[in-house]
Amino acid sequence: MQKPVLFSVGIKTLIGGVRPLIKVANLCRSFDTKKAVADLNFEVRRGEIFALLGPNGAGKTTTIKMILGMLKPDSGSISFDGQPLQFGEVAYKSRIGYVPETCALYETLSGREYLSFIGNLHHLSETDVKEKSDRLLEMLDLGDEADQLIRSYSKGMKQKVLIISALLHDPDLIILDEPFSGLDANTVLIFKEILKSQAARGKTIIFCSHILEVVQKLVDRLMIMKEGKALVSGTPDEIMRQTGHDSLDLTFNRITGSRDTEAVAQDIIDVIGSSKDSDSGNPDSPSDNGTN
Amino acid sequence: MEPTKQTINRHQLRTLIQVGIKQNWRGATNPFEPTADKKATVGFPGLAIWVGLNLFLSFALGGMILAISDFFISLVLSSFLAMTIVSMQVLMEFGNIIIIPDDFHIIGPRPVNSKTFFISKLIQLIYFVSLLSLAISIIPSFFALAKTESILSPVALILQFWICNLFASFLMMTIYTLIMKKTDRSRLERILGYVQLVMMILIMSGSFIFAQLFREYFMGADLSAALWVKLLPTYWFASPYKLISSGWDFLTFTFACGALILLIIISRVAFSYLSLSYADSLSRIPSNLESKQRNYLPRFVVSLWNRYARPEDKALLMITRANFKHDAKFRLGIMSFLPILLIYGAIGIREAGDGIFNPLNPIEGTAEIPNLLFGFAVSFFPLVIMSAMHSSKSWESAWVYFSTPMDRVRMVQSVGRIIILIITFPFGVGLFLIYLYFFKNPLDAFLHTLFLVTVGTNIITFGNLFSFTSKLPFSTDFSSGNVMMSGLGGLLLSLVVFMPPIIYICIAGYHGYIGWVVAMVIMLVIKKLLAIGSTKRIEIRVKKLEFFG
Repeated sequence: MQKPVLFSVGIKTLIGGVRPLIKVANLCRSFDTKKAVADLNFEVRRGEIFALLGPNGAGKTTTIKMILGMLKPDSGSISFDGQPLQFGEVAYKSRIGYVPETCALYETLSGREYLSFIGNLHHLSETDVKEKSDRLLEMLDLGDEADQLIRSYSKGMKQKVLIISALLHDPDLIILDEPFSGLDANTVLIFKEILKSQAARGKTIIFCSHILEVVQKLVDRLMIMKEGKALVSGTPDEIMRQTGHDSLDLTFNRITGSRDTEAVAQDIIDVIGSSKDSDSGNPDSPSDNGTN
Repeated sequence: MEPTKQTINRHQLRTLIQVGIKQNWRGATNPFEPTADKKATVGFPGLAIWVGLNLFLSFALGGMILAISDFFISLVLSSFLAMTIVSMQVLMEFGNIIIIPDDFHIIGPRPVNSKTFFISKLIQLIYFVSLLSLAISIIPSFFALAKTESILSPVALILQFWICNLFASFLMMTIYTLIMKKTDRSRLERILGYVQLVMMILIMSGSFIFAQLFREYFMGADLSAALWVKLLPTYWFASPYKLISSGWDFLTFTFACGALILLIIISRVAFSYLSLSYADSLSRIPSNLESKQRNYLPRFVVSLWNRYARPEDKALLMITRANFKHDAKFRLGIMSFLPILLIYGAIGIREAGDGIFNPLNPIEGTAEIPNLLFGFAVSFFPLVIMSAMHSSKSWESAWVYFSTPMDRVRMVQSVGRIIILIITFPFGVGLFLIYLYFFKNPLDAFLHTLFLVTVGTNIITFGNLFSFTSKLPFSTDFSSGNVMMSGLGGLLLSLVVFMPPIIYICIAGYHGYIGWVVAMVIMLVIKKLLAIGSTKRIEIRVKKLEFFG
């Protein structure tokens, strides 16, 4: 279903105007000799849902970490709400919520303890954190497991905790790196609605995802990166029009110059089926269970 | 935005400390146990293992306080030993307590300034060291009170232990993080392994120096006048006690001032390194390594191995190499024990003097101690090292044991075989060369080495039988003390069973070649029985295993 673009833009313009919340200019970052991000420029407006897309190793996570102040840019600048960010500055981090790509959680804490910990780092009151986290855990079907250690959670449960912890302090900028990884279809629907509502409230959302179907329906604008550089940016419709495809999957494939996916798939199938002699696979073969 | 002046955020500081300490008291993941009823408050107390171990060791230090008549010297020596023990513990728990790689990913995006983070880490380190110091000083302090009948002595002892342990921890942290600072990330991982090895050798050498001192004391030497006793840092730190108890003395005062200056310098340097950026450095290590595998073995050895080794052994050797290369915690765990083998070898050679007692052809006046040390090293330490092979940061990959048609019993047994291949066998070759040099008889050197290596392999199977080591490799998460716990558990039980025959052979000898044959036959029979028993035991355990990770 097509988004009501005019209505949406109208509300957001009323709330936040056109001044970008995040402005990235000439951003560069290398690791050893590899250029992870090279001369990147983009801006994200208040109340906008913006996606960073690209194949693996395109530099999306590095870009996000520089916006978060976790990595220092080699050159270039990042502005937050019109103010240039200095590396080491922490005050603006209280206005950011972040869901990392990996399940980085203290696994020897329970879900409830972890949320309380994050709430405390954001200076939320004890009662506020408790009330909010109890309700959110309950709403996301984690109520019964809230006191179990996170290490006993499934991937989806951990992802829910990460997303709750990113939203708990009602941040102005929400940055999500593969936020739907491991979530069940119903929870994905819930979070999509949450993101839309947050954007309508004037919150800015930047997210990376490889699920392009979701991206196509959710985002206002997107940017496709490869090898640290921006290849193209605009609304999904604008970008799809450029390539003449009606799906973002095919558009992405065309823009990133990937190989013919069907041919690659066929090659892989050929390799899998080409095993000649294998002694690896007889589960019933007796073992001698010999000595050490 | 201009960077604001960093001030400590008390609210965040309290939260970081509370959570840090809570985590230290919770144990490792066991992916083979259902976790549905695991409430957060019922974690396995990882830190308690260290506290318990130190309480146990404090009896030995208490004995030392009673055994040495001069309380000041006993204070210097016992605190020196405590310092080496606690240093080792801090080094082993570096990645769990001091700089945790996950910190960067979790705290990095939060509004926590580096000063608050640093203070929280500092307090956690002081808490960890204080807890261990208190545990290791509690019995000696009672003994000090009983011996001197003065309340000053136990107070001085507890303070002395605490300050020396803090000093040693800060010193180690400084060396460790200084190297992290001076090297680029791609070489950091490799260097950390060597650093761990060197530091463990230094710590072990400390224990060796201590043993020498103790021996000299009982041989009648006046240690209070010995120069190298005065050079021990614990002597300096104990100087204030001497000033209070024995009165003013310029030299002692100088030592006391030196100790204070040393502590201030080390503290300041160490404190400057506790930061999130170091957690970041640790967390990035694996992604910056070269992935190319190099083979240092001759081609025919590799070819023989590929042709004749079991598939489980091949797979395990491969993941052991990969873990050793890429998993800092695993490597540090192994490196914590390897120096013990080297130190035992070195001490044995030093103790040998002109000759080592040949158990097959005894010669009057040759030393028996080296045999005991070598026997102990080759027999028991492989078991302790083996316990490190159950943990990995990639423990969740253990699902592969359940989704492939592999024989899990053989996989568990492979751990022992790989340890024999990479630890026992090379050490045995070294031992053979040492014996060859001292016995001047290749047959005797070979036969005695063969006996010791056989005992060593029996002990590994014994560990499997009593479930200390019968776990799937690299299948559990790391936590404070878990390697030490299973390693020491197996070691203590096997010591009780196997140490008496080793002592007998190494001191009394085999009584000729017939005696060697008898001893070997007994060991081979035991080996067969243990193999049958441990295989049955592993089969039962493995059948019950389900993967919940």
